[in-house]
Amino acid sequence: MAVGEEAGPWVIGVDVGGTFTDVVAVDPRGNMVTTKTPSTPDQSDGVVDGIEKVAEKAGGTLSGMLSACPLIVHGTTVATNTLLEYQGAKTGLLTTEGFRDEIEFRRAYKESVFSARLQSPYQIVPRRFRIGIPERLDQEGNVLTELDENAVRQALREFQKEGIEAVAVSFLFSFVNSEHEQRVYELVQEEAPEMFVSLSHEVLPQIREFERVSTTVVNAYTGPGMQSYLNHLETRLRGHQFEGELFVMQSNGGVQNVVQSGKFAAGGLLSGPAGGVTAASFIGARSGHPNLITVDMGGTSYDVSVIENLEPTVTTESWISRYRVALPMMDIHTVGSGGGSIAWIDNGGALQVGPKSAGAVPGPACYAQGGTEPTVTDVNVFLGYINPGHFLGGEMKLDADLAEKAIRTNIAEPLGLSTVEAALAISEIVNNDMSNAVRFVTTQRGFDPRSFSLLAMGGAGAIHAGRQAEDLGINTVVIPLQAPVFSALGDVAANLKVTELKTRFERLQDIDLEGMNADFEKMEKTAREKLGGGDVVRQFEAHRYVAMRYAGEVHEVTVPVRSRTKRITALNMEATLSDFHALHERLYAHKDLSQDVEILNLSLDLIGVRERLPMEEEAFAAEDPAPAKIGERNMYFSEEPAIVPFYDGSWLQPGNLIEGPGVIEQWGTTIVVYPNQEALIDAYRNCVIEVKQMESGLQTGWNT
Amino acid sequence: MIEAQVAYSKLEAVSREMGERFQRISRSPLIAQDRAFAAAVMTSDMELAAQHQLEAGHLFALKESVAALFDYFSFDIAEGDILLTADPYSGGTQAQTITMAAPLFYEGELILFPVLRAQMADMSGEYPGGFHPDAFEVWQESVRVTPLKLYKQGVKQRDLWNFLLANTRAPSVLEADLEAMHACLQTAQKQLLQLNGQIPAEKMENYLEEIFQYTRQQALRELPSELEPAGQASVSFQADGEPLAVAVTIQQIEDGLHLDFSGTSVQTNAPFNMTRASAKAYAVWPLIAALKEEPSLNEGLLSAFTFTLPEGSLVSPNLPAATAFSGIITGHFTAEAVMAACHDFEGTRDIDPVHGPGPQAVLFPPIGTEREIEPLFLIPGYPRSPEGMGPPALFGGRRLVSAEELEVHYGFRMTSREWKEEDGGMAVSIQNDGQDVMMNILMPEAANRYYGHVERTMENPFTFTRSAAEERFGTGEEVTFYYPGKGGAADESK
Repeated sequence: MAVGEEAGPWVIGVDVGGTFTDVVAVDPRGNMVTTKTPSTPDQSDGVVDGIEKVAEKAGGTLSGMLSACPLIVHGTTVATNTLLEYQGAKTGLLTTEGFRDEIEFRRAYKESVFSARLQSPYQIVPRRFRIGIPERLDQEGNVLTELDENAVRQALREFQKEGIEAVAVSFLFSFVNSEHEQRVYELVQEEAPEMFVSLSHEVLPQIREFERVSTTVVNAYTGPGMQSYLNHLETRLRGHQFEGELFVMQSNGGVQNVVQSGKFAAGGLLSGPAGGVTAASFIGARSGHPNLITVDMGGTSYDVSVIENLEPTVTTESWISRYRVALPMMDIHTVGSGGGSIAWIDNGGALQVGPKSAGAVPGPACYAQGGTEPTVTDVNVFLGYINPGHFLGGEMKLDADLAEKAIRTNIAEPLGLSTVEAALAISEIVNNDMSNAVRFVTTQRGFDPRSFSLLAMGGAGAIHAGRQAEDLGINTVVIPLQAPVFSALGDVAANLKVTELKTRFERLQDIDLEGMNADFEKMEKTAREKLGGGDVVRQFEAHRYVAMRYAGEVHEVTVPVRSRTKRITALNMEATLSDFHALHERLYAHKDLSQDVEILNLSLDLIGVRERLPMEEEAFAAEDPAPAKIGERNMYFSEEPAIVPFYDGSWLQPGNLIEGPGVIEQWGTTIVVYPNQEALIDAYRNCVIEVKQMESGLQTGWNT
Repeated sequence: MIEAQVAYSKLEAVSREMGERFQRISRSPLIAQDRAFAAAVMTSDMELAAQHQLEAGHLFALKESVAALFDYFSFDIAEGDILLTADPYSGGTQAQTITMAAPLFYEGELILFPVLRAQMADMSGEYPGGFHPDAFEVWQESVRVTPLKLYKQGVKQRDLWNFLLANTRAPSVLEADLEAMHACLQTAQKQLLQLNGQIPAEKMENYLEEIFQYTRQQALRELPSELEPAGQASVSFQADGEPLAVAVTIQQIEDGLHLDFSGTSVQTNAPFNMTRASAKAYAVWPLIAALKEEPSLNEGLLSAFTFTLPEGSLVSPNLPAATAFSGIITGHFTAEAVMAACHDFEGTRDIDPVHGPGPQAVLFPPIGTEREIEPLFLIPGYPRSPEGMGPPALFGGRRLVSAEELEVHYGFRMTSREWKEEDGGMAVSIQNDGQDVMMNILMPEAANRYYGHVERTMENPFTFTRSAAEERFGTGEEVTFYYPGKGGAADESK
């Protein structure tokens, strides 16, 4: 296919991961070109390399593709890496006098309550750079103490002397009255205009000072790096004739323009995984699976998220690199089980898997890079699930003997097991850990995993998904065709989105609907100013939510407002209240219709809906997958080996049906179809595995 | 062992999820914010299969309260019964703490069943919240709820329910929390029934045996085993000026540790007495905190310890001795004594000492002025852990109250919360912007060591160095809570 009359203009999605940069280019007719290229220290190198690679695959040139491209959506790890590696800007904090240590107190949160040895996180704003400013508002926003402008100026001059690059400003009750923070912004422009400024009432205008100050500080710490990277990337792309718009994937599942993404860098944390969940929702809509549990198994971690009725669940309780980020983010639960997780025997003789990982270097023993400890990848090679000659499409050869030796010497012999028994045991433990993670995510939100399909992505996800489905009582597993570049697919599929927040505390019985409507109107206006993207947006949608709780409860439940018009009426609130009771019962098995309900926060998602990503359905071919069969090999599903056929995924056609056991090998993904399972290649070339369920009641997908 | 590990992880998930669900839906901040609860799964042999908890006090009390319930009802327990007790002298710890158990049957046989134990906002007694610094008998702290059936074969016993709600100053809070406990137990019962369908009871029993043995061995491997001669310590503290001491001798025995509290002061006419369950929990908790890996809380772990608790002493008082301060004060010194006795042991040498939560207050409107009183349990800061980060292990999973929420919901304005320059501890100042309220102040006190203090400024200035009852916190007044630090100034360099 060539760039020109037959194909294009291309919309491009680029997701930069730790190892690879993935690129997806789609044209209005649904032609899709994808590639993976190694990530680079300057992420823009990998981005440009990747786009050049897809341009060549499409028969064109980098400039040719970019000159006609209206939109590039980018998932980047710049902000995430900055925080994970603590390599952010030198940051200062101005906060209400008397409260400069809240960021360190963390409301007494410790990752391990038991541990007396746990050490504090690295302080991204050391105490000497945290300055209390005389000023104070009360809960209604009345000024109790005027802002001491001299103190602000003096603090800024101190910061300048210390070489501070970014300043976070977080005053008590600024979410009610932002005047003091806005005045500080003006003073920064006068005293130190070169400093990046992060204002708490803009970043997170919500009650609870620790959550707000932490998010504001993280935004300041990651902002300058993000801003500089995006400017650099945009300049490079413009240099290659790109005249379209550059957007950045956000952790709330929407995308934002470069200016907003630089200003609110905290919104771009974990944008890669968010792209994957967005893609899952897109695939779910196309393939008829509105309720999905997505699982992404990479080298070091296993990410789980839930999509209900095509809507990914959202959380405001994230901790990233031990810092609280209270922005609404896609709710992705991570556990330390990945392909690189090391199996070991503890001093009590119990077999454990992870959380320590072999990482990329030395990597699993079978990488033959000096690793000697057995990993999950070694087990998958030894059991025959991964073809050592076809890893990453044959780009990397694995040493099966080293995998066997690592399992035998480290696990089998010390435990008095055969190597097969040891490998199966490791596999069982890691599958169980991952299933527990799925259970945790679903039951915590009041879902029964049995009413969901499992969507597997990531290099190793599709090897284990079939087993987890059996354990969880899930009937269907979906492995999308684009699994190897899934986050990039999410980038091109995502809509523009801005989330606005506001604290509004009132009892439902005393609700001021006029006031609430005015607040929502103002929030929508602000969101429209931020959203941008006029050239690519087809229509706007505003979704309004109210965070409610039974009076006195500490935790709130976010409920969509039931209203078809812009104005919320008393009847709408009644319906919303009824939804609150139902949601509370689903989440917590408990509701109380007689109890007072109070509102804590309002939120509004303004969505700029883009043209739907076109995807053509293909007609079903014959059922027989034999033309794609490339051989047979020994595999272990139990202690006895079985001879199992394996197929080249790129040769499989829609309608092909593979009865398990079998293995499908494709670039970047291996799919294991276990005994008693059937895999169908659907009309979009996704692999859909149907799982035979055991007798009723034998699964433990908790039915709550 | 591998099958046992897999099965056990599912069981642990039931207790953890039950606890997390309860924490989210409970009405009282004591549970939602301070996490003053435990959730567990018990076996039909009254063994602790798995327990989720963040607060030390429940460690033995949950199991022993359930044992008291089953002893009481003996063979009179049927499907759908919900058993309840809230009594320091029925296996419990201190006033106002309810244990609710939901026995579960399969084909007529008792199988694994869920239990919740939690501190309630108010269950009568002389002061709201139950913390009475001058109490000398248990009834001044709370009504004693000896074992009863809240539900009989699935039917709520309205008379008992009403009795409980009639004996509280905060009936709506108590009712909501009782409902929440019941809802969480029911969900856990469904999960356990499903698990029973997957793993038959007999098989699960064998798995649990393996896991208990493993947990016990793991704990013993790390716990002090080189105490030769036996580790000994005695820690003195004061109860309203009266000197008291917790003495402990720790000895390695054939397969475990024996903690002998002979030499501890006799029980006192103040609320510092610890029930047996409470004493055991606070003795064991610091040892658990010293382990490198978090252990599973189960029968195997508990069985690694045996105790001598002299009857009539502070650590095994006789009815009607008051017990409300046992956790926050005597427990603190018990833990400190245990750590001191272990001090020469390599595994615990670097962890010293174990602080409790430090000064705190219970605020309430003047008694008799309002029908419904929900006391505010205020722990606005914490002692700085001498080693490691944040609060010490005995602080549990509490969350510091947000200054903004304190002002919006309760009308108290926090004017400052920062590290102190002089010793790196914490100081928190709070101003009363609303009506006059009363406060009971609770704090550890010792002659030779500083554990924090409270100052009241403005109209009635006063420095509190020991617990106090019914002190006025007037409109416009400010109270400052001081917590000890690591020593030295707050660290400016990090």
